Amino acid sequence: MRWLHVGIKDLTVTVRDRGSLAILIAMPMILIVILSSALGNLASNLGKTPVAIIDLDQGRVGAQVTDGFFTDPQLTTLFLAQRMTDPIEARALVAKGDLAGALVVPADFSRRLDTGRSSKLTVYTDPGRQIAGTVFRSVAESLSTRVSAASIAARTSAYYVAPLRVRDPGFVYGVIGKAVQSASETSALSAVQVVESTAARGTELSTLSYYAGAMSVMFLMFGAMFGAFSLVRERDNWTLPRMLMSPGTRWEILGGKMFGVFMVGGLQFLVLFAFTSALGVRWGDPIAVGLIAVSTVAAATGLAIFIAAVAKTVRAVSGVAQMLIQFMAAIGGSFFPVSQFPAWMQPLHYVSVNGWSIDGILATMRGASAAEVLPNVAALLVIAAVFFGIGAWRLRWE
Amino acid sequence: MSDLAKAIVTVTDLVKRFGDNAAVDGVSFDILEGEVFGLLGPNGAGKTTAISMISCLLAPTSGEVIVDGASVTRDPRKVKCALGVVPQEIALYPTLTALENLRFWGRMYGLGGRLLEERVAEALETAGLADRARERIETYSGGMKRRINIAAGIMHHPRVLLMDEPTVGIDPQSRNHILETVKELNRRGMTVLYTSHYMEEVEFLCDRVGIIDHGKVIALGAIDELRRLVGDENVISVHLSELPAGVLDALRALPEVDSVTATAPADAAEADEEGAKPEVDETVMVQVLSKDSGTVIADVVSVLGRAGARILSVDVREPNLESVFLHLTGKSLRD
Repeated sequence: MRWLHVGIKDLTVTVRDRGSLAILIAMPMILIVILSSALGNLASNLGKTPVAIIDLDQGRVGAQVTDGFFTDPQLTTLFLAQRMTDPIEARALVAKGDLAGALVVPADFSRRLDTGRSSKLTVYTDPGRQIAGTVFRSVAESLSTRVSAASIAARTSAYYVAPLRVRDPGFVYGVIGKAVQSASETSALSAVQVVESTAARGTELSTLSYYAGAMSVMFLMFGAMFGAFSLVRERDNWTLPRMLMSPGTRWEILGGKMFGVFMVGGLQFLVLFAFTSALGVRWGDPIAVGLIAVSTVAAATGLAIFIAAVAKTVRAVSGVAQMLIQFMAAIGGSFFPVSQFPAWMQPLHYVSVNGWSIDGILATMRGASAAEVLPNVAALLVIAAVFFGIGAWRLRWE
Repeated sequence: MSDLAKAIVTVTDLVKRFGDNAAVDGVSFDILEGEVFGLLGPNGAGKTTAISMISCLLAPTSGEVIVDGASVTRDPRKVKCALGVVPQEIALYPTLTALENLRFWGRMYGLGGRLLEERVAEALETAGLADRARERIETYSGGMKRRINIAAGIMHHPRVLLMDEPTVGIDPQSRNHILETVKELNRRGMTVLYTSHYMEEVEFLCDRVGIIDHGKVIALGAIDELRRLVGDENVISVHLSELPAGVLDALRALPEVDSVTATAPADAAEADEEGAKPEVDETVMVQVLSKDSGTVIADVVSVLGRAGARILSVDVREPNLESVFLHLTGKSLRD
């Protein structure tokens, strides 16, 4: 049970260190309050709204609906649209909150409208972003109305012009064009219906909720930095060699050090959880939150060993840790929501502990169950294992 | 200690290399059960590296160490159980109290429950700090920290206690307390390996001494045996305000002078652990080894006077471990 004694000793030493407590507990509390107060609801509405356009039709009419998202100056100001081909994937991204909405044009859209039948556009929206979702749905409805009108006008004009046996094609197209223009200016026609489907459950997340999760995760990573400090300091101060000269094995001692970092991280999360809950944050299913928290703390623990192995001195620990932590915080969404990143950049958040953890926390806040966050938990545990494996392999003991 | 005492620690041809540098280079010695064995040598001689290998912290490059019948390479756990270690550094947690530190180190040696509490109380009594047990180590003086550092190493009643320079940087009062503590532990039956570069401490404590320099044991035996290596040579120590150029060569040229060294005075170079830095001392201690100190001393003073040196003090001593080291290496223990 030496690992237990080492872990408890480390927890005691950390709790006695006011400087560490200020950084690990007080700083995130302060930042959560400041960021959520300063940014208000901006975080979910900053800049362009990310949406996906899936044109399964690939026809003339489908293009009329979708092209505007990429060419119309007003729409490109509002939306950051990306073309996708898989409606299921798009829906999943909306469900995760990575996209505010998705518009699906069905495969037979042009054919149905050209043959006088009605069709349906499907819009997925994120209930967590009600304003952005409403705007996106309205735009889709507007576009569908114009396409409906134009389609009906074209077919009606052709029907009436044909018996007149007019040989001048210019006259025929002129008549049809005026009819289409006129029809496009009305909104009473409904050859195309927009069917809205919410892709995710839950309530709209406040900025406070967002930063409660994002800052908690970032400062759990700082806990890892203090864990690495502890290991390197113990090596320098000869308490680690003294432990190695006792009958305990290296694995017992390393296990104890990890247990200490884990307990500090767990305590840190519990305090931040209690603090933000008191401010009104609803974290969601306790089991799901617990799973995400434990796996995130495990990843931070692995990170501590990794940093201690890579950095040989206390100063080096500080440099390496700050670089790693701030990089992961930036790409993982601790500073700003990943949905605000350019489309090419968004997948990068999966290379960070923060990305997987914040994804999981936001999902639980939106109502996800424990089963639904298992992929995040698994990813975090894999990261923990990789960090620990490399760290234990490269750690310098003497 | 009986002459028939058996060896409890056997070190055989021990080598530790760091790259091309041999920190310990073929060291061999025995430590007999119940004795205080001294390992005397200047800083960087290889004392700490040797202790690190005996205590299973470092793996030897080659050679063997047997402690209480167990090999450090084949049965390190048994070796560690038999040993108590007092490192040169104060290996304690400053924000924990002395009580908490001792409880932690006791648990690391497998103590628990009532036995742990008894041993903690006993160790605090030995350290003379029972009344301050609930104060944090960071509030202690350097000497008090050293005493708790020792207490942490003896709680499990080790058969052999390894003490690596346990008095570095502390005040004379604490040093005396520590030396008396080592004597008392030895009286209770504990075998002690004591490393130091303080000749006086080793002479005071140890039954037998190994003198180590550049990773090799250059002399080994009882203190009287080692003194006989020097024969009837005395050490003339002359404290000068500064060292005039060429004066050492002039002294070496004197008849009946065997060797001459010049060093900074004893404790001037060492800062204590309270953070107090010593004043810069530019004076020099010249040591002259001679079998005929009565005649030579006048010549030495004359040479120094002609060279313009200001003599602060002159001292003549009979052979001691310092002169043994000087005799064997041509340099001072504090070089």
